[in-house]
Amino acid sequence: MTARMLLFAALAAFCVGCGDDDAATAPTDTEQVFTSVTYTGTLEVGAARFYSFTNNASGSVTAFLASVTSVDSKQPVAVPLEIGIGIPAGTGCAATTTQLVTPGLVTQLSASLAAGVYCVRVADAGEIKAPITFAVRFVHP
Amino acid sequence: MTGGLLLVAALLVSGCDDSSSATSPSDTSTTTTTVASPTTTELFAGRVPVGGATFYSFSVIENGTVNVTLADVGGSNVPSTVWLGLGIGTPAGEDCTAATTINTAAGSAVHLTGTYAPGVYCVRVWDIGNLVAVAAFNVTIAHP
Repeated sequence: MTARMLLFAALAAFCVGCGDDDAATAPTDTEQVFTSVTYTGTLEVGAARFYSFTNNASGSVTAFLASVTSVDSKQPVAVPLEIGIGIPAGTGCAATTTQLVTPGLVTQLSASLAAGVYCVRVADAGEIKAPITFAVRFVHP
Repeated sequence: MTGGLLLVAALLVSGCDDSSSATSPSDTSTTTTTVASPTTTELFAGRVPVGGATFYSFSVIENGTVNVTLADVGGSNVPSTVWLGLGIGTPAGEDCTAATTINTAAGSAVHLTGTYAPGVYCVRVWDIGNLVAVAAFNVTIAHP
């Protein structure tokens, strides 16, 4: 009887000991790396400009209009500009997400994008009366 | 009886061997990537200032052949035989980073060709130091 119990105990230990070792490994954390870009330039009346970038992985791209100043006076100008995120196409940027915004230091535009080549577009939506200098800050994977 | 238990234990230990090593080898499969022919032709009609550059972006939707041709060049004080820089690359910043380039005069034969994976690319045209006036040009881009 004792020998039979010992045999059952050995079988039980065998069943436990033959588990999949992979399940016991600790999960690894994947930390996404983001790149911050400050895009500055001069915008003429009625014009648009764009900046291309490469998303190295899928993830969220965020942008905001950091500043708008007059080329002549160098003073801040309270006029809205259109900022957008899209795909370079032809001689421009085909923006798929746009916002009309005034400068602010919070996220004003966001898009969830796959890995690939995209662009940030800045355009006069008919509000500026003279050339301005802009700064757009965006972050992408 | 003790001997019998030892035999059982020995069998159990041998049973804990990594079963994956006992599997038969699998066949190695070969993946063939299809290279599609161009299905779309875009016309890049632009102007290059003296010492300047310009570019045009396009999307390749499936792995395939891209053909780029500098079809013609002209303009006031610009001979049609003038050589320009021509390249294929990736849009980056406010320019096109050309990875494959050639200096060439306009012609009907394809100037640049290559196989490209799906993605966004660009064709860049620039003055290599020959221009004394703005040049107008036509470039055709054939791609999948």
